[in-house]
Amino acid sequence: MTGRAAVFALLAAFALPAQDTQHEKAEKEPDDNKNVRFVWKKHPSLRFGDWLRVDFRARFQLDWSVYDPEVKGTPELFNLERRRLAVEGTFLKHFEYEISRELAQTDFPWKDVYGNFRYFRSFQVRGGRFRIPFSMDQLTGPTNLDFVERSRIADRLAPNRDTGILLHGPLGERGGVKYQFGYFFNDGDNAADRFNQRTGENTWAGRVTGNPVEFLRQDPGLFKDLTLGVAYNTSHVPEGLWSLRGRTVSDETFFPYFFVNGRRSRFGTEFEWLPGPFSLKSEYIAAREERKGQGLSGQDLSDLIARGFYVSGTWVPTGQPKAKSLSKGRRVPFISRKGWGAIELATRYEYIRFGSDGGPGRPSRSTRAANVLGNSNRLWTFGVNWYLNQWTKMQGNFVREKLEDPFRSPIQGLQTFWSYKFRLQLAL
Amino acid sequence: MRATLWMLALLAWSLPAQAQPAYDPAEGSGLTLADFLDDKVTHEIRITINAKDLKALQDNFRDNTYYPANFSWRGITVENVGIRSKGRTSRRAGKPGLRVDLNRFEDQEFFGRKSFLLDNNIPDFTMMKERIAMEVYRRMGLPAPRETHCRLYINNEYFGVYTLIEATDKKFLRQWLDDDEGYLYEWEYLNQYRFQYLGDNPSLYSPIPFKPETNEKNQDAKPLEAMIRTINEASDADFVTAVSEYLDLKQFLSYLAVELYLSEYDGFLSEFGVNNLYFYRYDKKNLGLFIPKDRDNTFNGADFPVLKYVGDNVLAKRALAVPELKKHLTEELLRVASLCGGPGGWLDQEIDRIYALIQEDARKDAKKECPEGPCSVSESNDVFQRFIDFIKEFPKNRRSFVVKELKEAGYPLPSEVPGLEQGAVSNAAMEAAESVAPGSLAAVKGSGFGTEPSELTVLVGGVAAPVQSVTAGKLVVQVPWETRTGVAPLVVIRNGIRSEQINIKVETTAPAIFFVLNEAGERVKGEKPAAPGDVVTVIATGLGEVANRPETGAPAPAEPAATLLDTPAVLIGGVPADVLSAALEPGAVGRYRVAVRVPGGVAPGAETPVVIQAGGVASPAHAIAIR
Repeated sequence: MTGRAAVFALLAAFALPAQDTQHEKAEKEPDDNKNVRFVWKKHPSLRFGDWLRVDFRARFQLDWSVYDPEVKGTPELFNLERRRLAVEGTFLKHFEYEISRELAQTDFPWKDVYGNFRYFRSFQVRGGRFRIPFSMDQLTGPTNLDFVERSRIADRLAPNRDTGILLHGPLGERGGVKYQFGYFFNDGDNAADRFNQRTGENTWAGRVTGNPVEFLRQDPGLFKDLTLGVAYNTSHVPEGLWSLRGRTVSDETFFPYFFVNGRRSRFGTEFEWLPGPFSLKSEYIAAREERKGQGLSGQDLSDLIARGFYVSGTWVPTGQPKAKSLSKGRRVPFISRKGWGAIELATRYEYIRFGSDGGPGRPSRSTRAANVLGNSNRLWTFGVNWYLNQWTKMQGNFVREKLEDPFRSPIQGLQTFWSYKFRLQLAL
Repeated sequence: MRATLWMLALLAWSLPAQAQPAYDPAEGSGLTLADFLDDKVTHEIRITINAKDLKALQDNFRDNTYYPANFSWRGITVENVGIRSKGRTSRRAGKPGLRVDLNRFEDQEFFGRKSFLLDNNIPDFTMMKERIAMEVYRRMGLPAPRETHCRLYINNEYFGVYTLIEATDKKFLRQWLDDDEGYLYEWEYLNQYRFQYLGDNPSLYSPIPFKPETNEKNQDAKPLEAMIRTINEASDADFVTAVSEYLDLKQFLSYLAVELYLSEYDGFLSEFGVNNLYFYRYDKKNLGLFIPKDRDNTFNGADFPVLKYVGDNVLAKRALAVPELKKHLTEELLRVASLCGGPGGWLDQEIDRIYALIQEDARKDAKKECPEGPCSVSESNDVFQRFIDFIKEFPKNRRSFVVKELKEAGYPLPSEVPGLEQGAVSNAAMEAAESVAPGSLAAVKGSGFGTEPSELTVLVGGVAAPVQSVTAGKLVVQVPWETRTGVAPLVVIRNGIRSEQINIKVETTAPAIFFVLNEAGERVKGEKPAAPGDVVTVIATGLGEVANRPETGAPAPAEPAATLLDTPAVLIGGVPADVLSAALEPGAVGRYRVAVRVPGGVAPGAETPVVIQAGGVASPAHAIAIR
C-alpha cells in the first residue's frame, strides 16, 4: 500500500459516522486505582496518576487546489498540506506543555514547542516556541479556520511563531479581558526571508482582547460572544532585502522583498462576534518598516507601509451555534444516525496593499525607490464548510483576486485570478 | 438625441483603453537617440548605485542579478533603472560590463528605448573592435546595433572607457526589419554545437542554444527544430528551396562574409562552435535571419584564416556546396573588402578617428587589462598602443590575403579583381598632385582594370565618375561636378566586382597643367620655344567652377563657352602673365584652356616654369622653353 493510499484509507475511516467506540467505553470505566491509564475523550490520552498527562493529537489536511489561469505550471492537484502530530498535557499541577511537529513538507517543521507555568491564573508565563500574540486570524489554529486559507493580512503581515517568553492571562473577576505581553528573539516565521532566515530581532509584542459588554454587569445577551482586540509589536530589522512581502493565494509574489533597515512595527485591531449560528469577524493590520540608509546614495528612504483588512461572515443554516460548537474546537459530533452534521456558508472580503510613506520622485518598483510604486490585492472568498463530526471537516472555497499592478502579477499583464480550493480535514 | 448620446457613451466605453505611453525623461530635452548614440564624440555616462549594491554586483559579477541605480547623460537623469553584470568571458568584477534596463522597475524609456548595454571593452585591448565591426555590418546593409564610446563614472569614480551599445530589441527590429512581433532568440552558447540535428524534440534547441528574448510566454520551438532538421536532412537538390523557408540564405552569407573578412575568432564559424548571434524569426512565418552580437573578437590579424572552419559547420558547409551561394559569399567578401578599403581607406581612417576620440580617456582608464590580466596603467597603456598598431596593419593586407585564400580554395573569383594601389588617386595632369577638384580629371592606379571602359564603373562619393581612358594599370576618370569638397570614397567596380574603397581628398580647386600650346597648336618646348609677347594656351585641369557648366561626363560647350567664374593667375618664369581667356576646352571633358600672353620680362630658358593659380592654390610647375 502506498503512502498516499494509506492516507486515503485513514481519511475514509475518519469520515465514517461517529460510533460509540471501545475508547468511549473505556472512558466510562476508568480504573482510578491504576497509576498509568489510557483515556480517549477528545483525544487519546495517557494519565500517569495526577502528576503527568499526555494527550496525543494529530491533524491531517488533504488539499486540492486549482488556479485559473494556471500560475504554477502543472498544478499539484492533490497536496497533503498538513500531517501534524502533537503531544500536549500537564505536568505536576501548574505546568502545561505542547510539542507539535509537522511531517509534511514545510519550511519550519517544529510548530509549537513550549511550556506554560500557571500558578496564578492572571499571571501565567509561557516559554518556548509559539505564536507571537498578533492577529486573531493568525492565532486561530488551522483546524478551526472558516476558510481554507487565512486572510492575506494574517498570512503576510502577522508574524506567526517564534521563540520567546510570554506573560499572559485573563484579568478581572470574570476574566473578560485577556492580555498577552512578551519578548521574542526574532520576528516570526511569516517574516522570514527567501532563505527562511528570520529577519527581525528582539521583538516586543502585546495584545489585549475582551468583551466590553461584560463590564456592564448586565446580561450581555446577543453580545455575549463579542470580542474586541488590539495588538502591537515592534522589532529591529537589520539591513537587507528583508521587507514583508505580498503574495497571492497561489503563493506567487505580487510585492517583492525591499531593502529595509531599522524598526518594523505592526499594529492591529480585531473584532469577532458570534451570535448564534452566525459569525462576523474583521481585522485591520498596518505594518511599517524603516529604510535607514537604503537610498542609492546611502540616504534614508521613506518607510515601507503595508496595511489591509478583511471582513468575513458565516452562517450555519443547519442551526448549530457557532461559538459553542463550531468555533475554537468546541465541537460536538454532528454526523450520526440522527443527521448529517453541520453545513456552514462563509464569505470574506479583504484588501491588502504594500507601498511607501510617500517619498520624492516618480513612484517606482525599484527595491531602493524613494517613492515606492505600491501594489494591492483585493479578494473575495466564498465557501462552504461541512462538519461531518467532531474530527472531520470538508471545506470548499473559491477565491477571486484582483491585483492593482499588472506588471507585478503572477502572469504579467493579468490582474484577475481565480483559485478553487477544497480541503478534507481530520483532527484528533 | 439622448439615445444618441447614450450610444456614443457606450461606444466610448467599449473602445479599448489606450495604453499610456511610457515615461521618457529625455522627452522635451531637445536631444534625440541619434545624439545619444552619436559616434563623433565620447560621451559621459554617470551611474549612481547604493555602495552595497555595487559591492554585491562586483562580488557576484557572474550573476545576472539586477540592482537599482540612477543613470545620467548630458544632464538628463533616469531614476530607478536596473543594471546587471553582462558578458560571458568578458565578465569582470573590477570593470563590469553592464546591461541597463530602463524599464526594470517602472514603465519608462530613454529616447524610446527600454535598454542599452555598456561593454567594458575587455578583452579587446584596442577598445574599438566591437564598434567598428558593427559599423561594417550596418554599412553592408545588415542589421546591427549602433555603437559609440563613453566614459563611465559609477558613484563618481571613473570606471574607464566603455562602448555604449544599442540594444537588439523590438524597436531595433522594427527599425531594421519592419517587424517586431516575431521571435527573437539570443544565442546561448552550446559547447561545440555547429547546427547538427539533435533530434525531434524542440526542447533540444530552445531555450539552449536559442534563448527566447521576445514572446517568451508564447514560445513555439518547433520551427527551430524544423529548420535544423531541414538544414541537415534536405537533399542536395532541394537544399536551397527547402532551407529558404526558414532562413534567408543570401543574408546569412552576407552576415558570414563580414565575420570572415573581419577575422572573427568567436562567431558563427570558429573552433568553439557557433556563438555570438541573435536569430530573429518573423511573425507568422518560419523565415528567420541572423543578427550579430559581441564582435569584440574581430581583427585577429590580416592573415587570420577565412575558410578554415567552413567544413565543420553543417549550415555553412551545405550552403557553400551550392555554386550560386558560393559565388554570393565570394562577392560579399569582396564587397566587404571594398568597403573597408586599403591603406587610407575607410577602415584605416575609422581606426584613426576613433583612436583620436578615445585615446586620452583610454590612457586614464586604470581598470583596463593586459593580456595576462590586471596590470598597471602604464603597462596597459603600452598594450593599448601595441594593439592599436597591430589593428592598423589589418587594412593594409587583409584584402589580398582573403583573395589569395579564396583563389586557393577554388572560389569563383573574377579573372581579375580590381585593386587599388597605395596613393592610387592623383590629379591626371600631374600625378604628383594628390588632391582633385570637382569636374577635374583624376588618375587611378591599380590592377585588374582590364582595357574596356564599358566594363568599369568608378564611384566617387557614391556618384559615377565617367571613365575617360583605361589601361591595365591606370584609368582616368572625371571627378563628378557634384562631388562635395572634403573626403570622398572612391571604388572601382569591374563587372560587378568591387575594389577596396579608398578615400580621396577633394578641394574646390586642384590646378595642374597637362601642357602649353603655341598659337599653331604645338606644344611649347625645346625646339618650339615661345617668345615674350606670344599668346600661348595652358591646358589644365582642376581650375574650379565655370559658367554654363556641362553635365558630368559631357563635353564642354563651345558657344557659349564655359568660362571660369574666377579668372586664374598664370606665372611664367615667376612673372605674371596677362590672362586673355579661361574656360573649359570645348568638346573635351574635364580640361580647361587658359590663353595668356608671355610677359616681356621673362628670361630665356629651356625649362622656364609655368604655374597656374586658381582659388588660391598653385599648380606644380610645368616647364616650357622661352627664347
